[in-house]
Amino acid sequence: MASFKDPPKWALRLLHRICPTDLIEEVEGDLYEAYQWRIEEMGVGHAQRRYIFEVFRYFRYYRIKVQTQNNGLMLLNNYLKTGLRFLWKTRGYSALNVMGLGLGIAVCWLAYIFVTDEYSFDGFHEKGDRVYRPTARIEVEDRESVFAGSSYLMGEEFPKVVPGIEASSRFKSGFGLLKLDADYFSQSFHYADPDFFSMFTMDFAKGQAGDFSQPNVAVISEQVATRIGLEGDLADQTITLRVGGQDVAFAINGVYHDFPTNSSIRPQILIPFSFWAGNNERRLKNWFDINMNSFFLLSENTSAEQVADKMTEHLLANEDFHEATVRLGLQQLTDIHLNPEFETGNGINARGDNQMILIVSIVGLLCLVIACMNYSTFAVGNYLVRLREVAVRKVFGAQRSSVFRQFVAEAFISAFLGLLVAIGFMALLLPGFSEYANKSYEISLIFNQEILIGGLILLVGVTLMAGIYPALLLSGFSILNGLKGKSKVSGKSRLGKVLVTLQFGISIFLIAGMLSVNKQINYLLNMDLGYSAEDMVMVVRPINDMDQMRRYKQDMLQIPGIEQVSLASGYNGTGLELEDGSTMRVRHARIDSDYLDIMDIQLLNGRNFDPELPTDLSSSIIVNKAFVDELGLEDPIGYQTKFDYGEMEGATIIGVVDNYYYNSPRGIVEPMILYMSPQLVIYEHLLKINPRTEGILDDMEAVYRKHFAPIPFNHSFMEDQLAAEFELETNIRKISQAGAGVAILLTCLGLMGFVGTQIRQRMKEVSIRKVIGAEPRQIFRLFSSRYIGMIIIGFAIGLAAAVWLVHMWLEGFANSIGFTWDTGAIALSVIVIVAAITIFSQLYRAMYLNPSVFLKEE
Amino acid sequence: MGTLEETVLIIVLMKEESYGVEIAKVYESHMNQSISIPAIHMVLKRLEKKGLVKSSFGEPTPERGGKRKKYYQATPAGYKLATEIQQRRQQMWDLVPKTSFNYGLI
Repeated sequence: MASFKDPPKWALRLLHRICPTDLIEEVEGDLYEAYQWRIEEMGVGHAQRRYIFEVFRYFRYYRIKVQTQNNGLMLLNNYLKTGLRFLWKTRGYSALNVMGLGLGIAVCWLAYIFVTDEYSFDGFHEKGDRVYRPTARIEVEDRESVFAGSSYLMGEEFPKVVPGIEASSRFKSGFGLLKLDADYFSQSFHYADPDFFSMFTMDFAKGQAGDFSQPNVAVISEQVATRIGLEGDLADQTITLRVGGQDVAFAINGVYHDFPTNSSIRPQILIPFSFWAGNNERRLKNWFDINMNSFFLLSENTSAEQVADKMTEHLLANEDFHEATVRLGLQQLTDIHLNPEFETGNGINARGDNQMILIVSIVGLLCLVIACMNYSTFAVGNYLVRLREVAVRKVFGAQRSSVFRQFVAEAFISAFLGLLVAIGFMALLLPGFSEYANKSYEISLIFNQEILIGGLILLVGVTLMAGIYPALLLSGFSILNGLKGKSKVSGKSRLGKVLVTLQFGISIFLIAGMLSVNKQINYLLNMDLGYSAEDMVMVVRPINDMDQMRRYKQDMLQIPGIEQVSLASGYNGTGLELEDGSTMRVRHARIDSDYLDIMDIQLLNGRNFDPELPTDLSSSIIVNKAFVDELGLEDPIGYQTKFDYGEMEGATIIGVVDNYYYNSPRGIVEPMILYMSPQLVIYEHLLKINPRTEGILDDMEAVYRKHFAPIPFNHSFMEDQLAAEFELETNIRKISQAGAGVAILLTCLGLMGFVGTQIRQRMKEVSIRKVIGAEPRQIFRLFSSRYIGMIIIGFAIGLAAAVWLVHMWLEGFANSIGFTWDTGAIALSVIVIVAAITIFSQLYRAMYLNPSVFLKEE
Repeated sequence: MGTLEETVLIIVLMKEESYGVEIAKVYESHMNQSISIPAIHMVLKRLEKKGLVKSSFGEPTPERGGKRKKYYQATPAGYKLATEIQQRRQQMWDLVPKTSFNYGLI
C-alpha cells in the first residue's frame, strides 16, 4: 500500500475541538480519505487548503458541542466553593488582601471617573464634531501671539462669504446683575445668536427659543427659573437684568434643562446677540477686535483647514496688518477643554488640566498595579498549602487549563469582593476627591452605566493582572512533586522578590514625586512676592467721578480698624513703542499715591506720586525694575517714554519700584508702568485693615451701600485670591499626597503578605535555629537582610523615574526648585522605616516563637 | 426536498451502500463540479433525519487514517420518494410540446 500523508496537525486539533463526538469519527475519516484523494489529483498544496477550509466549515456544529458537552464550566461551582473556603481559612490575610485590592480599585476607579469625565467634555452635542470656533495667530517679527475667539464682524461676515459654514453663532459672557424684587444679585448670563439652538443639543422643558433675533427676549435654565421663582405659563413672564447701568426686562421665551457638567459652555441665561450689538455699536466694525467666541457649524465632509484658509483670505482682503502676519484657524468644540494652546474665557468655562489628568492617571494605575501585585505575592506565598490540592485534582483528570481556570476564578472572587469594598471606599473618598478635582461628583455617580462599565473593565483587568501569575505557576506544577510535598520550584520566590522590589520602586517614585510637588508649591506660595497681601480686603466696583473717589475714601477711613485705602484700576496690557521702532509688551495700571505704601512695594529710585503736583496727575509714571532692565536705562529718572495709552502724553519716569509679582501668573515679572492720570477706570478698592475686628466688614458694607446702592457688596481677601491662583497646584499637591499615602499603605500590605508567608514556611527552620541557640536579634537579621537588596534596587528604579518626571513637570515653571537629593533621601528613609516596622511586625512571631509547637508535628 | 438532496439520494441509490468521500467522487464525476465534504455530510444528516437513508459503521481502513467508514443505505421510503419525483418530472416534461423547439430556445 502506498504511504499516506497526514493533514496539518493543528487543523485536526481544531476539528477535534469543534466537532461533536458522535460525528468526529465519520468526519475525520472522510476528510482524511478526501485529503489522500486530492493529493493524488491536485497536489499537496491544494489538498491542504481544501482540508483546512473544510475543517472551518464544521464550525457550524460548534454551538451544539458547547451546549451538550462539558468544557470546564461545570466545575465553576466547585472552584467558587473551594476559593471561598480558602479565603475563609486564611481570613486574616484575605481580609487585608481584599481591603488592599479594594483600595487599589477605588483609587483607580476614581481616576477613571475623572479622566473619562475630562475626555467626555462637549461630546454630548449631536453635531459637536462639526462645530468649530475661530482662532487667530499673529506674528510680528519673530513673536507669535495666539488668540482664541473672533470679532463681531468675523461672526457676521464669514458665514455669509465662506462656503461650508452651515450655521453660526457668536457667544460671549455678559456682565451684569440679576434684579429680584428690589435687590440685585450677581448672575452670569451669555449672549448668543439664533443659530445657537440648532447647533448645540439643548432640551427645552418649557417653551422654545422663539425669535431670537429680537433683542429683548431670553431663555433661561431650570436653575435660574427656580431662582427667580418662575412657575406655570411663560406668557408675559420677564426676567430683569441690570446691564450697562440700566434695568432691562427680557421676555422669557423658554426654559431649558441645565447643561451637563462636562460642558465647556454652560449658559444659565441666554439673551440675543442683537442686544449686545445695540449697546456696543463702536465695536461692530472692527475686524480684529477679538473679544468674543463664535461657533461655526461646518457642513459635512468640509475640511476645517480649507474653511480657515478662506477665512484668512477674506480677513486679509479687508484689513491691512502691515508687517504682521495673521492667520486664522478653527478649533473643534471637543478640542477646547483639553488643548492648552488656546485660552478659554469669553463665555467658555475654564480648561481642564493635562497635568492633573496625567498625575491622576499615574497615581490610579500605580495603586492598582501595587494592589494586584499584593494579590499575586500572597497567592504565590500560599502555594505550598495548595500544592496537594492541585496534585489531587490532576490525578482525577484535571487538565492544566482547568487548574489555570480555577486560580483565575479565585482571583475573580477576590477582585469581586475588592470591588464591593471599593464602592465603600469611594463613598468615603469621593467628597474629598471631587473638591480637589474641582468637580461635583456624588456617590450615585457610580451607578451610572458608563462608570459601571469602567468598574467591570477594572474587575476583569484586576482578575487577569492579579490571577494570571499564580494560576500559571500552580497549573504548571507536576503531580508527583505536588504529592510528595516538594516545594522547591525554580523562579517562585524570585518573582515574588521582583514584585516586592517593583512595589518599593513605585512607592519611592510616588513619595519622591509627592515631595517634589510639595516643595515646589510651598516655594511658590512662600516666594517673596515683592508686596504684602496681608490683611488686605479688595472690593471691585468702578468709580468714575474724582469727587466721589475722595468722599468714598474718606468715609472708609472713618471706620476704626481701616488703616489705609487705595483706589486702583487693576492691570491691563498694551504694547509700548521703543526708540528703535520695535514694540515691547508692558502691563500698566492706574494707581493713587497710597498704592505703593499700602501694598508695601519698595521704591528703589526717585519718588512716589504726589497728589498736589498737577504733572503727576497727567504725565508722570513709575516703572518697575524689569522695565528699566528691559530698556537698559542707566538713569531712568526723567526719562521720557513713548507710552501713549489713552492719549497720554510725555510720560516721564519719576520713580522705579522693585519687581513684584502681583497679578502675574507663574512668577513671571513683566515690565510695568504705573500712573495716576485717568487713562483707566478705577476698579479695585484696596483696604488695609488692622486690627481685624468682628464688625469691620459690616461697617465697610454700610459705607459701600451709601455710595453704590443698590449694587451688592462683594469683597475678597487678597490672601485668598493668592491662594486661588495656585489652586490647581495645591490640588495637585493634595492628590499626589493622598496617592503616595495609599501607595505606601498598599506596599506595606504587600510586604506583610510576602514576609508573613515566607516566615510561615520557614517556621521549622527558625525553631531549629532557636533550639540550637539563636537570639531573636539574629533571627531578625537573618530575615531582614534579604530585603535590603530589594529596597535598594527598588529605590534606584523609583528615583530614576521620579527625577525624570519631576524635571518635566518643573520645566513649566519660571521659578523652580529643581530636583533636590534630600527628596530622595527622605523617600528612602520613609520606605526603610515603614518596611522595617512591617517586617518586624511579621518577624515578631518567629523571633519569640516556642520551638516545640512547630517541631512536634513530625 | 432540494436538488442537492435529491442528487445525493440518487447517488446513494446507485449502490447497495456508499459513504461520504465516495459520494463526493461520484457527484463530481456526474455533475462535473466539485463539492465539499462538509456539504455532503450536511445533506446526509438531513436525509437521515427525514428517514430517507440509514447509516452503519464499517471497518477501519488505513486510507482513512484508521477510522471507520460510515456507510449510508437508502431506505424504501427514500427509493419511493426519488422515483416519485422522477415520475412527476417526467409527466411535466411530457406536457412540454415539441414545438417548444421552435421558440428559439435552441
